[in-house]
Order: sequence, then structure tokens, then C-alpha cells
Amino acid sequence: MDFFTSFKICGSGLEAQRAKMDVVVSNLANVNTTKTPEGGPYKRKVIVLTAEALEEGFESKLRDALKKVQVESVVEEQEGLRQVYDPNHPHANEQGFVAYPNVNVVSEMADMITANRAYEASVTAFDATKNMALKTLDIGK
Amino acid sequence: MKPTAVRGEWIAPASTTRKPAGEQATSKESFGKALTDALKDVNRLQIEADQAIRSLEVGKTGSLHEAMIALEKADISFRAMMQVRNKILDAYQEIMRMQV
Amino acid sequence: MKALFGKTVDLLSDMLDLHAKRHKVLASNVANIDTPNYEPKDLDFEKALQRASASRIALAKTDEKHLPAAVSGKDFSVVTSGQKVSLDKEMVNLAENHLMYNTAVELLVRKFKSLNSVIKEAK
Repeated sequence: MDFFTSFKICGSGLEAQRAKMDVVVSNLANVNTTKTPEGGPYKRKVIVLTAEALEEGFESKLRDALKKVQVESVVEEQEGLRQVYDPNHPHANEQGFVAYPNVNVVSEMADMITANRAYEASVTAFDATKNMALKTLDIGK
Repeated sequence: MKPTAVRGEWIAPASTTRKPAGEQATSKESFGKALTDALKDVNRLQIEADQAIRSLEVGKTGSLHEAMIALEKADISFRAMMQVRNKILDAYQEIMRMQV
Repeated sequence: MKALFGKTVDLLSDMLDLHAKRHKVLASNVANIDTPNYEPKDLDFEKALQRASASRIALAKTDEKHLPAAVSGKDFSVVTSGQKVSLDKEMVNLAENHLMYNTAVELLVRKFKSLNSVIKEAK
């Protein structure tokens, strides 16, 4: 169906950006977390998105062009942990170093703004879809 | 009622439906045939509208604007047909009223 | 009854179809802004539009030897550009497509309204 496909695509965009926002917020909240349940400091999480084809069949020309976005996985970045010398810290290791997360606040904020913009863009696309569908119902009034 | 008994000399009632210039020249076609063709067209448009609705709601393959346009076409053509029918009836009744 | 509607309604219907399809492609682009290795797609719109209008309005043959134009109104092809998605370009295209769709709907509404008044005035 015409517009419901568009709704699905826009919805997937909204979902993906919301997930990205969650990841960014989690990074920001844990910028100084030195111990996690898995052991070791909090490691920066990055969301990985993929484009997926929609399930319904269309004419073949459009089928390859229409892709919704899916969250493939959330990966942890292992590199770049900051080591700070602080032997009195309860989480210090034998050499007296405490490992702090590899979260860069500035770049996380930039990611947050990007996710926000992308979310708004999907909302605009969704509104446009709805407006077009409602306008179509005017034919014949 | 079908005015099939009336042939070529019958002047078509002044319906205001627009026709391209080419079609007005076909006076060789009987009026009855033109009428039945028009009825078939109206019927076809109604059926197409039904199919468009079905493919939209049940089959999920139709598109919204196609259904809306099909419905509107069916409605307009049907009402045009009704007007033509009214005019024919009026003309017929006027003829019947004529004193012989 | 076909003459009642003429070619305008069919042309507008084709245009609605094209704009709806283009909307889906553009929505895909917007949803996939952050997807790595995703290339934005669009319909080659100008050509599709020309083909749609050419198929509806019969091209006059000015010379006996010319072949009649045989085009279908629903042809289009998807164009992929090689770069990453540019959010601004996609939003501009989205807005333009949205407007053109609404315009086509409005034109259809007015066309049908005028047909309606033709029928009403026939009394």
C-alpha cells in the first residue's frame, strides 16, 4: 500500500535515531564510570545501523531503492581508555592506575545534535506522508 | 426504457457533457447504440471503482489515490448518465404530449 | 464516458503515482542518513514527467513519414548518486515533492468539481 510503506520507512528512521540517542545518552551518563558489572571501566558504545529491504513486494524498480534502517548492533570501543594515576581510588589496579572511560564529551554532544537533527528530519518526512495521504482523501469532496 | 426504436433523425438531447470534435460527426451510429455504449462505460467504471477499493482494503496492493480517483470517476459518470436519462425522458414525454 | 474525463485526469493520476513513488524513495534516504555505505536514490523525474505527458497528449504528426510516439506514462527509473546522503538536499527534495503532490491532488479536486457543476447545470 502506498502510504503505509512510507510510514514504515519513516518509523524505522525514528526508531533508529532514538536508539542512537539512547546510546549517546548512556555514554554521557557514564563518562566517569570506572567500574561496570562486566568488570573494568565503562567503554564507549557505538550504534551500528544497516539498511534493510522491506518485506512487501513492489515493482522491481522500486524494491531495491526502498530500504528501512535497522539497528544492527551496539559495539563497544575498546581503545583509548584513559589511565589516571590515583592509588587511593578504590578501583585502582596494582600499579595505582585507574582506567577511565574512553568517552569524549564533546564528540558525544555532537553526536547527540546529529541524532536530533536526523530524528526531526524523519518526523518531517512522516508529517509529509500523513499530509499527502489526508490530502488524497480530499479528491471528490 | 430504451429508445432503440428511434434511429438517426433523433436529435440528441442537449446534454452538456463535453465530447471531442471527432465524436460528434458519427451520426451513422444509432442513438441507441451510443446510449448502450455509454451505459457499458458507466458500468465498467463502477466495477473498476469496486476493484480499486477491494485492492486497497483487502489485497493491500492498491494505492489510495487510484481508489479515490476511480470512485470519483464512477460517481461523476453515473450522475452524468442520470442527467442524460432525465433529458431523454423529458424529451420523450414532451413528444408524447404532442397533439397528433 | 471516457471523453468526459479526457486526458487531464489520466495525466494527473500518473503524476500522483510518480510523486508518491518518489516520496517513498526520498523517505528511504532520510531514514538512512546515518547508515554507512548507503547511497541516496532518486527517480529521474524530469524524464518520467515528460514521458507521462507525452503519452497522454497525442503528439501531432506533422509529416506522414513520422512514426507515432509510443511511450508509457508510468515509466521511471531509479538513479543512484555515488555520494553520502546530504540531509539538506533530501529535505529540499522532500518538500518540493510534497508540494507537487498536493498540487496535483488540488488540480484533480478542481477538475472533478468543475465536472460536477457541468452536470448540475444541465438541468
